Amino acid sequence: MEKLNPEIKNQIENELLGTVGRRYRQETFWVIFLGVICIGGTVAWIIQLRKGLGVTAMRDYVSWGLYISLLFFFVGVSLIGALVSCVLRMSGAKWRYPLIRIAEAVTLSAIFFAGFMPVLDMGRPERLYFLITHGRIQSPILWDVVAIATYFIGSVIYFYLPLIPDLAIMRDKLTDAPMWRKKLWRWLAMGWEDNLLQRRLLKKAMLILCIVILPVAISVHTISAWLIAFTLRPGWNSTIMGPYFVFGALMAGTAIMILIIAKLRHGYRLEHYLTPKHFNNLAKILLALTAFYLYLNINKYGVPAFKMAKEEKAVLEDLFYGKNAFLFWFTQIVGLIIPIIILSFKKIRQSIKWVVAASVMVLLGALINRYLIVVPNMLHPFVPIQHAQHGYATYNPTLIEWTITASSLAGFVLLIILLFKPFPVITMWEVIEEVEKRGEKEIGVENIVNFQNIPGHAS
Amino acid sequence: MACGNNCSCNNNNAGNQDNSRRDFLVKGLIGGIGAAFLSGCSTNDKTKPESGEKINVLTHDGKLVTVDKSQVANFKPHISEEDVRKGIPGKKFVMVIDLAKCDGCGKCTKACNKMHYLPKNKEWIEVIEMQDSPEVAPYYFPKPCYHCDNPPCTKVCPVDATFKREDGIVAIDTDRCIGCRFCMAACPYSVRLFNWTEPIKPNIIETTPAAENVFQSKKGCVEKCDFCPHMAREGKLPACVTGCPMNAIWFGDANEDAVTCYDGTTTKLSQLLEDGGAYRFMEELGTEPRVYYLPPTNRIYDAKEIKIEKEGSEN
Amino acid sequence: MQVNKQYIITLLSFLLTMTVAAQDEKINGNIALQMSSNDSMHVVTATVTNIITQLPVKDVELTFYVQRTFGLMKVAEGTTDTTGIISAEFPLDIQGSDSTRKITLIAKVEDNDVMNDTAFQVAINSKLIFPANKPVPRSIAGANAPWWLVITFTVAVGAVWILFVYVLYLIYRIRKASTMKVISKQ
Repeated sequence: MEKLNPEIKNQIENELLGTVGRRYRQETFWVIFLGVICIGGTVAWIIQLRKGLGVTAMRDYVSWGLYISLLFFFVGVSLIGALVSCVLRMSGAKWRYPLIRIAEAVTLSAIFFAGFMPVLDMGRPERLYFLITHGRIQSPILWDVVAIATYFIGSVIYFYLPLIPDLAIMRDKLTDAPMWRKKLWRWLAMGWEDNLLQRRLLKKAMLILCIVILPVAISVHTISAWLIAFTLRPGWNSTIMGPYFVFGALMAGTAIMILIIAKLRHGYRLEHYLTPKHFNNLAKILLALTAFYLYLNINKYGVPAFKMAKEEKAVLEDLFYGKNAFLFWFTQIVGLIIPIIILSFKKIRQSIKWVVAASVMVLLGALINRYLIVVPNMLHPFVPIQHAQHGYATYNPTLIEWTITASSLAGFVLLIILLFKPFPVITMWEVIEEVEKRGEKEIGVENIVNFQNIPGHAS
Repeated sequence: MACGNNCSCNNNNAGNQDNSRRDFLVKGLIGGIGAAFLSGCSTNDKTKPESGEKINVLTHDGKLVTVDKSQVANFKPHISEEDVRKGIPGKKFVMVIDLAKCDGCGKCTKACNKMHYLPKNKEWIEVIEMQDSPEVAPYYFPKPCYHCDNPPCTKVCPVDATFKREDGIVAIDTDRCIGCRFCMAACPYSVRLFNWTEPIKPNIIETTPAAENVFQSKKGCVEKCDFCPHMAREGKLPACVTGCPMNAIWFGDANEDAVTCYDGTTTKLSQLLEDGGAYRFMEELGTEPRVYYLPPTNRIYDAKEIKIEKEGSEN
Repeated sequence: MQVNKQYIITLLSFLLTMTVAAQDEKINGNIALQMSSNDSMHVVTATVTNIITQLPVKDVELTFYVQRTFGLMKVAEGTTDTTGIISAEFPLDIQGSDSTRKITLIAKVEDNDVMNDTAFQVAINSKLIFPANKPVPRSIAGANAPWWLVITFTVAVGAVWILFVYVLYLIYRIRKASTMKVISKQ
C-alpha cells in the first residue's frame, strides 16, 4: 500500500492521543475504588507487620497460603507480554501490533506485584537485603528473585522501546501540555526524528530484546514452579510442574488480555483498533492453551490417580471428593472444559461477548487453580497430621489475608490503568507503519484509513 | 548426672582436652564464681553506671547468673560465629530411637520444651502414633529433626540461615532467617516450626551465637530440634535423652561409634544398629537422616491401647 | 596367646587420693593396668594391690570401660584371683576418641565388699582409622555452591544483563544519531 495521506495519519495520531491524560468518568470511579481497596490492603499489611504472620491463617502445616498462590498467579500473568511481543512476533502474526503496549503494561504490572508478594509473605521483610549480602545461589528463591528482577527490568525496557517514536509524536503534537510534561517527553523521546539510522537502531534493539525476553520470561515462571517442584512433598514432587505452570500462565495471561482489551475497546473508544479480529485470534490462542492445559491436567492428576500411591492418595482424594472437590471440579469444568466447548464454535469465537465470558471462566479457574496447587498439598504431608492444635490442620484465610490478597489484585489492575494514562494505549507509529505496508486487514484495524468513517470524538 | 556416669577421672578425658581447657578458662572468666567476677568487673567498668535492673544471663554451661543489666556486655561468648557454623570438632552426632521401648509417655517432649523454653503448643520432638497398615499393630513414633546428611531444607535456604555443620547437625541461625518458610515446605518430615507471632521470651540473655542458643524462638523465624549442641559441647546429652525414662532414645557420636541413653548405658552404635535391625525413616527419599529407628518388636507396652487419630481431624 | 605390643602402665595417683574413703573395714586399692593385644582382641591385665601393704587383693570385681563423649562404655569385667591379677579381653574394633586414635580405658571398682570404690585409667591407641570430619563440601546443600552452578548462574544471568546494557547502548546511539543530523543540517 502506498503511504497514508498525511491528513489521515494526523487524524489517527490525534485519535489515539485522545486518551492520553483524558479523564473518563467510569475510569475515575475505578481508580478511586481500586485505590480504596489498596489503602485497605496497606492498613492490613501494617497490622500484619506489627503483629506478625499470626494474623493470617497460615500455620506450620499450611505454611504457604494465598500470598504464594497469588505470587504464582502474577508471575503467570506476566508471561502475556512475552507471548504477544515475542511468540506472536516470531510466528509473524501482524495483528499483534495494536496489542503490544497493552500486553507490556499487563506484564509490567504483574511482574511488579509478583516481586511484591514474597515480601508480603516473609516473616522478616526487614531482612530482605540478606538476599544480596548472604545470598546462596543454590536456592531457587534466589533464582526467582534474580529472574523476577531481570524480567522486570527487561519489561520496562521493552515497554519503553516502542514508546520512543510515540513520545516523539507526543512531543511534537501535544504542545499545549504543561511544561514539565513536555520536558519529560522531550527527554524520554531521545531526540527521535525518524531518520533511517534511528529506525534501524530501534528495530535492532527491539529484535534483541524480543529474543532475550522469551527465555527470561519462561525461566521466571519455571523457577516459580520449581519452588514447589523442588520439594519432597506428595503432589509437588513432580517433573510436570515447569511446563504446567508456564502453559497455565499463558492461558491466564491470554484471558486477562482479552478482558482488558474488551474493556479498553469501549472505555477508550478504540473500536477501530481493537476489533473482533483480535478477539477472534486471541480466542483461538485461548482455545489452544485451555485444551493443552486440560491435557497437562490429565497428566498431572490422572497419572498419579491411576497408581494411587500411598502419599499421593491423600492429596488426590482431597481434590477428587474431599474438602476441595468443589473447587477442583470447578477449575476443571468451568475453568477448562466449558470454555473449550464454547470457544470451539467459530460463531461464538467471533462474538466478543462470548469470548469475554469464556475468558472470565478461564481466569477464575486459573486463580483457584493456583490455590489448589499450593494449599491442599500442604495439608497432606508425608507424616500424617496428628494432635494438631486448633486451626493448624485447616486453612481458612483470615480477613487480613483476604484484604491483602484483594488489594494486590486491585493494585495490579490499578497499575495497568495508571500505565495507560500517560501514554497512548496503541503503538501509533508501528500501527501506522504496518497499515501502510500491509493494509488494515492484516493488522486487524478497521476503517481507520477512511477518514470519513472515524467518529469525531477525538477531535 | 546428666552424663550418666560418676567417674572421677572424667576431667582427663583426652578427647576433650582442648575443650576442657578452654572451658576452664572461660568458666573462670564468666561463670560460677559470680561475685568475685562481678566485683572484678565493676572496677574495670567504671564508665557504665549500675542501672539497678537485674537480668539473668545463661552461661554456656547452662548456669543462670543474675547480674546487673550494665554487666551483660562483659559476658563474652566462648564460641564464635565461625565455631557455631563449623560445629563441634571431631564429632558426628547420631541418634537411635528404640520404638520397642517407647511407650508414648511424651516425657521427651516435656524435657525438650523445658530445656528450650518452649510453650506447650510447640513440639520439637513430637510423639505420633503410627500404623503402617490397618492390620498391623500401631506404635509410638518420636519424631525429632533428622539432621539429614542430604538435607532438603538447607538446599533451599536463600540466605544460608539453615545450614549443615561438620558435626552432622542441621542448625538454624535466627539472626539470619528471613522467614520465607521454603525450608518448611521442603522438609518431608514436617519438623520445622514457625514463629507466627511474638514468642514469650524467658527472662534470660544468651551470649552464644544465635544458632546455638538454648532459646531459639524469634518472631518471623523458623525453629526446630537442634540436637542440643550447647549440651553436647559440655559432654552432656540432649534434653530428650535425659528425659526419657524408658531408655528409648540413644544419642552419641558416630565417629567414636558409641551412643548413650538415659541411664548412662553406653553401647557400640554399630552393634546396636546391627542387632536391632535398625532403619531410617523414609530412606527412599534419600535425605540420609542421622536418626535411626529400631523397629517395635517385642514391645514392652500394650499396642492395643494406642488410638490412631484420623488424619486432619480436629477437635 | 601371642603378645604383639606392650603398653606403659599409666598410674594416676592423684585420683587415688580423691577416692580414699573413711570407712575402716574396707581397704584402699591400687590398680596397675597393663595393655596388650592379640590378633582379634585387646587384652587388659590388671593387678590389684593394697595401697598400704602392697599385697595383692583377691576377689575384687573389676569393670572395664572405655571413655566416650557421653558416658562410659562397658567392654569387659572380671574378678581378681589370689595373685590379685585379672586378665580380660575386648574387641579391637573400638574407635578412638578423636583423631589421635586414643582410647581411654578405665578400670573401676564399684560397690565392692573388700575395697573402696576406685578407678584407674590407661590410654591406648586404636588401630582403626578415626573418621575425619570433612568440611561440608561445595554442594547444593552446603553453604558454598558447586563450581558448575556458579558458572552456569553467572553466565546465564550475565548474558541477559549484558544484552540489556547493549540495548541501552543502542538507545543512547538513537539519541546520538539525532544530534548528528542536527549538526549536519547546520
